[in-house]
Amino acid sequence: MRPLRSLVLLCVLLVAASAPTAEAAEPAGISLVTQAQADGSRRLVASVKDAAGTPVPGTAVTFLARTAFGWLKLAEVDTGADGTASFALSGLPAYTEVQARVGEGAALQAGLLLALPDPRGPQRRPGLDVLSRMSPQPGFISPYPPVQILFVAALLGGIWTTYAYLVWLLIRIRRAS
Amino acid sequence: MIDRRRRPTFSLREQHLLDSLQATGPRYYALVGGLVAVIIWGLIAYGVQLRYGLGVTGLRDNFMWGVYITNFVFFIGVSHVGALMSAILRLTGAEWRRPITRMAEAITFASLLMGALMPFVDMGRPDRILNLFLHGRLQSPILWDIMSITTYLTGSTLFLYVPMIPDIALLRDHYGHGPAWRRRLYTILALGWRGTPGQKHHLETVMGVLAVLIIPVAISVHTVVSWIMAMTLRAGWNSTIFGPYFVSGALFSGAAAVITAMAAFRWAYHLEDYITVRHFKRMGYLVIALGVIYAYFTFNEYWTPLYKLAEHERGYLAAVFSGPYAPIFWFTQIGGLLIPVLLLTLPTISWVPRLRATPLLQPRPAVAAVTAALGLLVFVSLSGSPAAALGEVTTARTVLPWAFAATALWLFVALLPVFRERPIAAAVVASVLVNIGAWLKRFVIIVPTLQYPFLPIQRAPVGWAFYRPTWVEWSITAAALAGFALIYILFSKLFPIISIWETREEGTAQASAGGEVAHAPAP
Repeated sequence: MRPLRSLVLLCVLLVAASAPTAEAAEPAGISLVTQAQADGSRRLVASVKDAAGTPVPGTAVTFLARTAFGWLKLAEVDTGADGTASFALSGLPAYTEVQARVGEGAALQAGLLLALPDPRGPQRRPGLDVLSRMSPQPGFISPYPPVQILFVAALLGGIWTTYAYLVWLLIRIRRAS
Repeated sequence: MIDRRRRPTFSLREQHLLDSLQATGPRYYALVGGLVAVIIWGLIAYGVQLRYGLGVTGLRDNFMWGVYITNFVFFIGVSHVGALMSAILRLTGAEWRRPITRMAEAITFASLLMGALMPFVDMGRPDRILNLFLHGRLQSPILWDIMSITTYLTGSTLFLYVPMIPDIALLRDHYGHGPAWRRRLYTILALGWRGTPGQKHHLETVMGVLAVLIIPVAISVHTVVSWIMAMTLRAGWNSTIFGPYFVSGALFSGAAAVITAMAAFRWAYHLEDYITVRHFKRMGYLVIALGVIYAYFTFNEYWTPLYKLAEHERGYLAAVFSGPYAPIFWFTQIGGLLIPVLLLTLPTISWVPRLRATPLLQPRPAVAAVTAALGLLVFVSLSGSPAAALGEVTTARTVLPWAFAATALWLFVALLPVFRERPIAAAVVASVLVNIGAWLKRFVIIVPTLQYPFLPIQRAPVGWAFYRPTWVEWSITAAALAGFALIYILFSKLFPIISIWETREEGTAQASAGGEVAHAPAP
């Protein structure tokens, strides 16, 4: 029995030695989801796994958001023991598209649309109560002609009306005695 | 009916002024030819830009504004002086203004035309201007700019034209037997002016209303120009005093531009009888006062962020005060503000003539020292090693700018007695320095801010993080300056650059001495 036990032990040792270690696991896939938080904000959660579907800890994940000026790097977070890295979106503008990237040259990436941009614009125009939450300048950045714009229009109109009056006076100068 | 058979008589100096309308010579044609050549070269550069796009310029994603918008702000600023200065001096009854108001008003007209062109050049595709009208939003400061500049251009054109009507009537009668095109032009523009009491009443009403109206319009224009920057959240632009800061800077550079124009026309048209040392001195006082106000605003504008040194403004402030933009910034403050004000004040001090007796304070050795220091500075700058190009500090690079500054100070003190004897030369040097400084200051306001945005410049090629104007931009800038000068010169060939009827009082006195009284249907 002893040779048999020794053989089994040797096989076990060989298998253990040849098995890939957790440190050597290479990220092979990434997924990105959002998690709603109790305070109403959202958290981006990226899960990094290897080819066998095992979570890969200690991998740097870069979170990015699309802005008018290109992709803006929001944060770089290492994955934890469960292979996930997360980033809180609270306090940031409402980006419509975010990404999580891993590796040099963004070898792995996962994207997520947080909201679909509506090319037709809002079906129902929001009121100032809504706009004041969306914009620091709800009075000007709105689809309505606010009072300030009417004021500017009245001012400009007044100047141009005065110009017209002066030109009319000039035209009449020929006939003045 | 207008009596064209009676040709008006003029005093000798008025006749001299009228002769300048037709007097041409090799120098005139050489100047106009040179300006036209520069404009054609600029048009070729613009053609290249149209053909290949804005990629031929130094403008990139982050640097959407550069030399073109610098020109725009500069020209709009210079344009202020005509309307504002002329209107204020008219309303306050400052009689000494009479020979120079038209020059100032013509500067407004010419610089506004050139300034208004610059945003179109900056757009790359000029057809996109239509989008402003098709999809423009009244909430956008760019649209405010378009509206205010159009309003100002119309108002300042009227403000230039209305006081010219009596003079145009004089020209209509003077050129009764002259070239047909001149006769036709003056007849149309004179609006049948005969100098009757009713016409005078009409003219005074229009001029009075315009003088009051143009002041707020002019102030609002440069305020709105400042808002295209101040309405954005950017380091260096996020300021509440940008409006008055821009207005004060505009008046400062505009008043200096008038001094340059006064000297140029005085020299070219021999207008010594009209534009005297007294006018240069008074304009000098105006420049000093405006310079001090501008310095006050500049100090306010930079001191508050410098004291707080907020994190997002550190890069911008370091770049302006001690970084790559520091030489330009400090030139604008010392060469474009401090030295001009000192040039206009120090020579009047009583002990200045005594400097001449000091052996060390002779202009020639000082000029030689400045030239040598400047030559060394240029040589060291151009022949730098790769390490120096990467910002390595060497002794020569540290010491030479200070050596140059010290020799320049020496020259300045040595020249004070010379400038005391030649106040016009002092005023001209000061005004040219002010205008060079004014252009560079606009550059320093616009470009460093774009280099340090709140959203970091990412994934852009290395060269795109810096702005270097190309030959296309410099060519178009030169063409714009040449266009401004050409419009101004051609204007002076069509209309008297000095108002005849407004200076008649002085002219009558002189003409009376010669036994000749001019006839003019002036109000």
